[in-house]
Amino acid sequence: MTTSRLAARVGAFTKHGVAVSYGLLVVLIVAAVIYNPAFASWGNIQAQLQIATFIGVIAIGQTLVILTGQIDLSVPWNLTFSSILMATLYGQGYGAVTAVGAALLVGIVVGLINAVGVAVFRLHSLVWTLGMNALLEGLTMVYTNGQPPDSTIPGFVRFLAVGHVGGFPVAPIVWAVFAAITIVVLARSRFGRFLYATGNNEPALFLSGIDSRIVYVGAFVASSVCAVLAGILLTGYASQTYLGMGNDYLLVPIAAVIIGGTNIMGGFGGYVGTIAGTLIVVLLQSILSVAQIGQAGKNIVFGVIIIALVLLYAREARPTD
Amino acid sequence: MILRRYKSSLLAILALILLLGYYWYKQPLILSPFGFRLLANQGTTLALAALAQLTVVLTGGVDLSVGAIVGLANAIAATYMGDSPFSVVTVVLLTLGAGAGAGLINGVLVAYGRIQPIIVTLATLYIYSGFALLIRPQPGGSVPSYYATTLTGSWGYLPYSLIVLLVVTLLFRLPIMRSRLGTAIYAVGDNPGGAHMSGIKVNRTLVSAYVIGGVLAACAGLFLTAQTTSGDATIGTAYTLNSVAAVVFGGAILGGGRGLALGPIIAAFFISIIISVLFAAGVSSFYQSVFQGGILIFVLMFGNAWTLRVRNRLSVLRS
Repeated sequence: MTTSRLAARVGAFTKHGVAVSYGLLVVLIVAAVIYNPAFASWGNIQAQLQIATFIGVIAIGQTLVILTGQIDLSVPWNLTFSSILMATLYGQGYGAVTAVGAALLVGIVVGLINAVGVAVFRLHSLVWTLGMNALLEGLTMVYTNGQPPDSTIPGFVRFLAVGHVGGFPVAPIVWAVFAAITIVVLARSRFGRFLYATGNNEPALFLSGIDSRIVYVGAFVASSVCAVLAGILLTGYASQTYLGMGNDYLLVPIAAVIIGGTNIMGGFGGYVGTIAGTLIVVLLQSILSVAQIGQAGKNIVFGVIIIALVLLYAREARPTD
Repeated sequence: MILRRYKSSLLAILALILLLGYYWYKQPLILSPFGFRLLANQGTTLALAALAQLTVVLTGGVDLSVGAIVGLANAIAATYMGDSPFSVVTVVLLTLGAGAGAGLINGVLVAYGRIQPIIVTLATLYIYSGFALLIRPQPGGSVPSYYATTLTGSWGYLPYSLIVLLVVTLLFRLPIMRSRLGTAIYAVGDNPGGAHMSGIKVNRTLVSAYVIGGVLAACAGLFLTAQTTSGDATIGTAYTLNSVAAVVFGGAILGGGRGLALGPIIAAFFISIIISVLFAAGVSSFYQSVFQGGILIFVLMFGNAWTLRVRNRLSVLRS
């Protein structure tokens, strides 16, 4: 292989965001282990995967929505409201299935309303889903009277969140199953192709006879249900629900999607990259915690790294070209 | 003619008139000097933040770091401001400089880094809020009382905050938007390629718009400091998304090129005052978020109801 061809290969490799994010993930892992060998301990890996599961599951939905060129900002209170609903219903003596089913129903309804605003009324999802978030915050306050909900958690939710099968934690397995489904759907199904097409060129999709409204419904309902699932897992993990439990889960999953190389304007990317993005985000947070950098330093480093990564591989064409 | 120019702001104006009418019916006291001052103070911070957001939205971007800059300005002002007038002026200038610097970083990354604005400002949101936390790890600090009363007081029926808003709008923002730079900002937002072909320096225009946005966000932070008379690094969070909501509600288009200052300012007052109106109407505080979100959603749907009557869906997709 001549040097120029090698250079071309390397160029193509770095242009591909997925490769860069996995490369960065490896570098981060090596750096973390050199800095503190305890990072490689089985206990720590389990703990990291556990936290990554919540972010990763939410990021599934965000990936789908961002691929269509939209964004879902209703995650925090959607997650909080449905988790509190689940825990309260279960505490009131309804069965675990009813409780979890009610939470999932909330997710489906919220996703449908999000999709109606975006697909039918053609409102920008940045504003519309934000309004939904405020509405859900209000509903949560009304439902709980502003009191911290006191509740017991269904056993199988605890199992999904913190249980072990043969020495292996269950939560990351749950994540892996959902991740595999997402990747296959995106790569192989008609719905997956329509998602990309919506983000790339919606009028063209319409002219080829596909109703993009259905695509939005799919993406937003999936995102909303993912947020609910993450909330349920988080409830099991923390053994409780609390007001504001979703607040940390708005921007971090979006950052994971961006770091994973998905174009924020839609049409390009995928969940394979988001997995790397999720792990990078989780690892970074934990490295910064171990290095005893305070919240302020964490925020700054986090922001600088997002910019550095995007400068590396997600630059736009010049508007003037 | 004037009506046509301000057609996009009409929805917000009508909504605010209805809201104030209902407020007056429920609470006649708002027609007093005190009531005027209260109303004006409530909306001014968000109105300034919305102006900051609007300037960036006009270029076709969105600035998610507005709230972080508001928080940073609040942290700087409440931490470093001393009692002497000299110190007040220095710190105000320093804060405005910090806002301009924050905007400059955003603008350079968007224009020369060629990164989508939403990513740049999502990242700088973390960075600026990090610096705000470094400056003010715990809520606290203070500003001299004359600083607070100068900005939030009133002279009879005339609240000073309204003067602040008018000065910033008419003496700072309006001359810029009426100048060559302002025209360039609208042109770049409407069609960057076309603007470039017409000889507009697209990159410089973008950077200028973000710097103006940063300064306006710092103004919002300074006013907020006068209201709260203390510093809190996380206080700005709500202003990011509320400013976007005010800009859209006020008739500007996310995507750039269209939008006037009047609509977003009015919409900012609507969004800020609605909580007090709900309180006056006897709505339990738990229901306030429901109403706030519900009204925002309803207004947005109402504003876009024309999409339901369109015969050819393709025209909707391309709009």
